[in-house]
Amino acid sequence: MTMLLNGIEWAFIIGAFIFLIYMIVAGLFYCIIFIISAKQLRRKFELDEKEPYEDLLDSVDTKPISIIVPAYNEEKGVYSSVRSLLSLNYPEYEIVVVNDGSKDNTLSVMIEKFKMVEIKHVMRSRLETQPVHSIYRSTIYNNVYVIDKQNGGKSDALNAGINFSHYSYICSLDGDSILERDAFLKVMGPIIDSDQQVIGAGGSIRIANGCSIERGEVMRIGLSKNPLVIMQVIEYLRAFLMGRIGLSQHNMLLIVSGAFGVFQKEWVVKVGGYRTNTVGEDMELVVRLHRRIKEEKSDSKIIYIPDPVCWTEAPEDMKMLQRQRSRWHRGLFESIWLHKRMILNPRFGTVGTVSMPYYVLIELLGPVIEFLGYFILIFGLLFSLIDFKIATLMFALTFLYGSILSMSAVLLEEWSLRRYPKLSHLVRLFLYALLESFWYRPLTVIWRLNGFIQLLTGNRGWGEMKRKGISE
Amino acid sequence: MQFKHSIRRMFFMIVISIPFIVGTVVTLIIVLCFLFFYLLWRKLVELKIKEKKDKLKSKIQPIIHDYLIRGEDVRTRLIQKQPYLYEAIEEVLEDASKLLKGTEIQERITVFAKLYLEDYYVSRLNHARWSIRMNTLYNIEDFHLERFSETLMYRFSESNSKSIEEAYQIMRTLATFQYESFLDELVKTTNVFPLFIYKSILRRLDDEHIDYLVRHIHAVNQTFELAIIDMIGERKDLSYLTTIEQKLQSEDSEVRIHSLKVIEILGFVTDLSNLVPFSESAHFTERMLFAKVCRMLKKERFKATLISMLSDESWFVRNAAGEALAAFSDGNIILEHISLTHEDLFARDMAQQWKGDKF
Repeated sequence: MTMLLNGIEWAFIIGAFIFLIYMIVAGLFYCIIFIISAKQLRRKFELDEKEPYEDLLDSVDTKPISIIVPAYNEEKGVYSSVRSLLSLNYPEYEIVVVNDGSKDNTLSVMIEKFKMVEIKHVMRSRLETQPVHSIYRSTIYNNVYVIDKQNGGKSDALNAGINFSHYSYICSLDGDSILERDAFLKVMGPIIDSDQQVIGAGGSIRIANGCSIERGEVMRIGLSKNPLVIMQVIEYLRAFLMGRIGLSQHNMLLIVSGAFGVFQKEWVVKVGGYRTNTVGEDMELVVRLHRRIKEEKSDSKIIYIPDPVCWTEAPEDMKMLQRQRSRWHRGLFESIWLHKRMILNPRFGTVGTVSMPYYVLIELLGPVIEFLGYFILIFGLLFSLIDFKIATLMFALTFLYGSILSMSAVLLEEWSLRRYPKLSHLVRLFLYALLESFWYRPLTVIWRLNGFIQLLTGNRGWGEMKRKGISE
Repeated sequence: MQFKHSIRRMFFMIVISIPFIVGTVVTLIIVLCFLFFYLLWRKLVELKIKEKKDKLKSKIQPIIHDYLIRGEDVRTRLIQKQPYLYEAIEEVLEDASKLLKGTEIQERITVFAKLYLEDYYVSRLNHARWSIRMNTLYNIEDFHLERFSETLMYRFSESNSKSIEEAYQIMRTLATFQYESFLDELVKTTNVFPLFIYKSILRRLDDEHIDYLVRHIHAVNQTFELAIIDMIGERKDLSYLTTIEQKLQSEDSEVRIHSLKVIEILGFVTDLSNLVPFSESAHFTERMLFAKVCRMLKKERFKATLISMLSDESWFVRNAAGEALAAFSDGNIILEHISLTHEDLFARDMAQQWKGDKF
């Protein structure tokens, strides 16, 4: 009996130890990334934004883009999405909506509202997809197309769009994302300037809930009062401002969000397009691109633009949010597992030796260890299995990892980009960040852990996502 | 037994470092709170300044507009020296520049900027912050403050700009000023700049200086040469057609390809025989461009070649050939015929696609 109790006591102590070491290492890593990001952001502080892009507008050089919009049961929002895409500030682009076997009236809405006619087009099937039934083109807007095909999922729809696209750059866009007018100017600028060296770029995503949006344009930036939304805003700030800028600087960026990314088509086709049997298709593509870049010993890059260019609808209730987070974690795991050979492999440069391990240890295993920490903390204290001092330490580190990093991200945003105009915004964001470790973070840990469990039990779906519609 | 001891020791080590770590965390919280209050205060101050600046703007705007439109002297009426006065003036001038058109007005904007902003910019050009230096450079270009030409030229020839973006903006500005020493230097220098910056420069030059560069096209590096060729296409300038046709025979395939693209844009050649070799080129891009040029020219003598191109091995070439044939007045008939009778499947497919093209 005493042996058993001793054993449990040891287990707790060892567990606590693992937790502590992990937190300290992870915390240090984040601090380094934070500093890299802060320097980068500060540089652009107060730069007259429109000036660098005026040249691009007049330029014939500006590479045309094919915007691919996968659509499944989007009859409510697809028209306004496409309408708002039509007012983008960019010389040449086409909009390819891919109707992925919708069961509702997505297709007929598009055909009717855009006066579309069927065209006979020879599609180059460079990527394998589910069969395409027909292709339509609008008679009022020459650059709007609809591909009607058999259902195959988001990746399959994107691949079909790629097959059809006429231009050398493709942009994958979610149906409910709103792009800023100058989004493409901002994203394509570095791509053009780099003389083809940059083959992929991700834009910064901000949360649209709470902003006033008219006819597909963000008129005024606001902050929702819903606590869940506020927390998500903070999370996005943290992820984008700190994680992505820092990693992008050294070509280690592994996530170009599925909500908005621009890629050079040839590269995407070269690596085989989007993968259809994963839920994290956006990240998986980027990992595969990095892999190919290193295998070819090319000096191509994938970068990230910190200037917010894309606004998206965030889930406002727990159930939806939970589903989303579990799904993301599953996708993360799948993307990494498929390319596990790259981990710690020097052949893949810093992506292999730094990024991948980072994503495995911190992003993927993070929830497991954090959960371990919570467990030990609560039960350890309850049953006096750990020392009070150690408990304080553990809690302090949890707080560091959660609230402190989030508070820093909020302040970093205010110090550099300042997209939230009101004083009350700053106050609300900071206070909620302060409280993060007490409620929100444990919740996300449980949800992500849930994703792991789903993987082990073989759950593979996307779940239903209710669209509210954010445009008036 | 040993194991238990080492665990105890580790335990002890942690106990020692607890105050350190907890202390760090508490310090961080305090620091962050301080930063928070600082940023909050700063935001408040900035919002107030913005209010004052907007008020100032609405006061000076009619005065400045009066000057721009009627030429009335304003010196006596703008003596406030608030720090945001410069920003206010810049913004009013920028807005006016977009709103009020006309050379006289643009000149007056320059005069006004010279008077109130020039000295301010001298110090701003050397500011520690990159974004401020860039903004200053942008404004120097927008307001045509040519007094800075020599300074900028010096920075260019000594290659001592602090960052590559500044170097590029300096080049653009010197181009806007039509600064001839800069153009000379650009032609002579062994430095090769990226294509996009050459084009950026060319877009800002007036006819006289473009002419100068075209006349020296043999003396420049390949990238600059390509930029000049592309520029002729952008300007849709037929007067340089002979130069382009000469370039069609260049040994450099990139030069040939860029020249073909320009021919496509211009839609005209003086000597059709210059084009013929391209239909059989080993580079598929050249064959494709040949077809695209044919689409613009619509010459009967190339119909047969286009038809044979419908079975080319490259999809791009086949597609361009199909599009070209569709442009002929009897294109539909030809394509209909091919879609039904040609022996090559690719050709039939391509003809099928292009025959009913309403667009």
